Amino acid sequence: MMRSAFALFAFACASQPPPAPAPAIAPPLIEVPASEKWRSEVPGPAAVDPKRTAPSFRVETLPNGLTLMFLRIEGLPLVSMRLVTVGGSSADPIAQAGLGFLTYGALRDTATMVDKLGVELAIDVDRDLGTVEMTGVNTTAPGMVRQFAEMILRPKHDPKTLNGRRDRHAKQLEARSAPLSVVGDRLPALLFADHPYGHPSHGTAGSIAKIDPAAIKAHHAALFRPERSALIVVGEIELDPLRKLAAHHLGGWKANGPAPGANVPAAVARERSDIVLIHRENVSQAFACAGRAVGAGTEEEAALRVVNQILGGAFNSRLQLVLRETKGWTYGANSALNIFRDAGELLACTQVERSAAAEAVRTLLDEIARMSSAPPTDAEIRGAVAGLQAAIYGRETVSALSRLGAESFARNRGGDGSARLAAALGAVGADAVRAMAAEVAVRERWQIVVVADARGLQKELEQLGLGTVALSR
Amino acid sequence: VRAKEPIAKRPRLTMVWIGPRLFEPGTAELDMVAALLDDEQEALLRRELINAGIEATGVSARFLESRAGSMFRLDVVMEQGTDLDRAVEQVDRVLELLRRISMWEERLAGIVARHERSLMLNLQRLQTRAHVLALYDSIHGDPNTLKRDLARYHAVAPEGVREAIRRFLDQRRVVVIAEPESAAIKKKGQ
Repeated sequence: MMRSAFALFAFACASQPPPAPAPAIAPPLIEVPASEKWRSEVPGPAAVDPKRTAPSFRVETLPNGLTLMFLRIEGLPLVSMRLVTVGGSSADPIAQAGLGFLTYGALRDTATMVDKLGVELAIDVDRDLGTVEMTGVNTTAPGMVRQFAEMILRPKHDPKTLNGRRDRHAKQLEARSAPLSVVGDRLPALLFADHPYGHPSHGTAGSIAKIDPAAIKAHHAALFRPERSALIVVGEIELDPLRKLAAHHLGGWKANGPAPGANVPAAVARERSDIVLIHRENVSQAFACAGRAVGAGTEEEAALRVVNQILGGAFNSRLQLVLRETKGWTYGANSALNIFRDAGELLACTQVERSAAAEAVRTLLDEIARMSSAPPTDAEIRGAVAGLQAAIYGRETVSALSRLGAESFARNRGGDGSARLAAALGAVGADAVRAMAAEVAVRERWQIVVVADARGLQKELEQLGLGTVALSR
Repeated sequence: VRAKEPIAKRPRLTMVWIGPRLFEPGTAELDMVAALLDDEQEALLRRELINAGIEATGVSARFLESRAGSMFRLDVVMEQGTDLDRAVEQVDRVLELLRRISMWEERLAGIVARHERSLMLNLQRLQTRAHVLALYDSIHGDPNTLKRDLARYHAVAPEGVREAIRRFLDQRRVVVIAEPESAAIKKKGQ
């Protein structure tokens, strides 16, 4: 639904106003020697290596349905192995938000070989995927595959340990007070309401308390299915032995019972804007975040990424230039685009002194609106595309590269998903970017959360006339 | 050194020893001692302190190499009301335990492997690789000495670890106890 809405809007906005002039560069504060004139000049675009290529994974499927994605990287004896499974927190039952988080977290209880292997273990659950990653020297690769098999096929689900893990997690959630964490807890419901994306992946203290060891055990059996999983391997390692290892340790993996819902409905941006003000006594800073749901379709993605880059995705983005450089209110103001399987979210956030909080919120929203009234210029679009492509071509670590593989698997993009995204970015037209910028700028679709000492601030925010301000703790 | 802490609410114990100079014998062993005490998989020092009834909420052990002499540093943050002199005794007990008991020996290979992994991970990014190679160049006059660096870790043996503890982590140290003023006031009131 979001896709068609975006497509219609793109058509309606085919003719856009002339681009705004590029911001002027302030004169240097000190005298620059004649021989170093380059110091006062804006650098031109970086030279592009004609031989650069986006990573392309070799993709195979084991007889049991498990996908194997392989990318050989030479130079250092390292390997990153990532076992990803479709069905992140969006597979949580409504009353048990955080079930996936606890289920994946419980895998640590079976990770008994990690210490001996000397590998780094990372477990993560986002809205669509659960990920277990091990990174280490390549001689430990056989041990890593064996460890994956132990975790998935023979998990230790000791009720006492699981209860202890759950209780510790609930306590940690109760104790969360950092503004960024508080915003992260509140925004999903504001953006996605009762959609499966409408709760934080780690759950809430209340929902976690309702999860017992039997639920974790049952969720493990339902989630971990070879046909919905991929083993992604990047590093200095040979494919043949890896294939044999995967077949030996994971070839006997079979799904048990029914799968949790594989597809979640497309999320739609809400049409009513709220400002939620969360009170934190005596904090000197205010953290303000605006967010909205966006479509996740492939066609829109390149334009959306460019729009985000121009708004706040880079160090020279509009939010940064205005809130940091011009106003001097903050060290940083950024936006982030998170694309999931069935929707995405665009967030624009900043942290300022309490005295500037209301003005910062207004400026944040003004800059979002300016994406329509002062559409991205050709120069901004070129710079954003170059930056985004460089980020794809410039992934340096085995872990970052295996993450690219996971993103491709999650969105059914095959082994060359990164190359196709890089190409789509190169082909995106200025009209499409400006149409997307205008769609993104619609004020009513942005929800706002402010974490600050609310005394007096509620009135200041109400006086901005941006909508109802709901005070929360 | 005992200091009154005006802001923090929990007491902190810091113990610092001076160790060998950068890349000299004993450095790799002390690095492994720090990893044993404050390991990402199993924080031995924290576990032993809690088992001894010391309510440690934050524990860290670090070995920082530098040219003039390295620094081995332990930091322990505890709940209010903890007997801090007893905490010092317990840290000494854990170090003595490491020196005498062989329980950790089987974990040594994993810790060395983890260190090697960290070193390799650092070499992936151009920026950190340049930093590491510049460090080798400044110390050895040759940036291509990664193998030499790794070799000192591969050579770490249990006996060497015991010897490093005996030689460097002795009573010649600085102990800093920072006690919150609020806790002192509370004690007076009691």
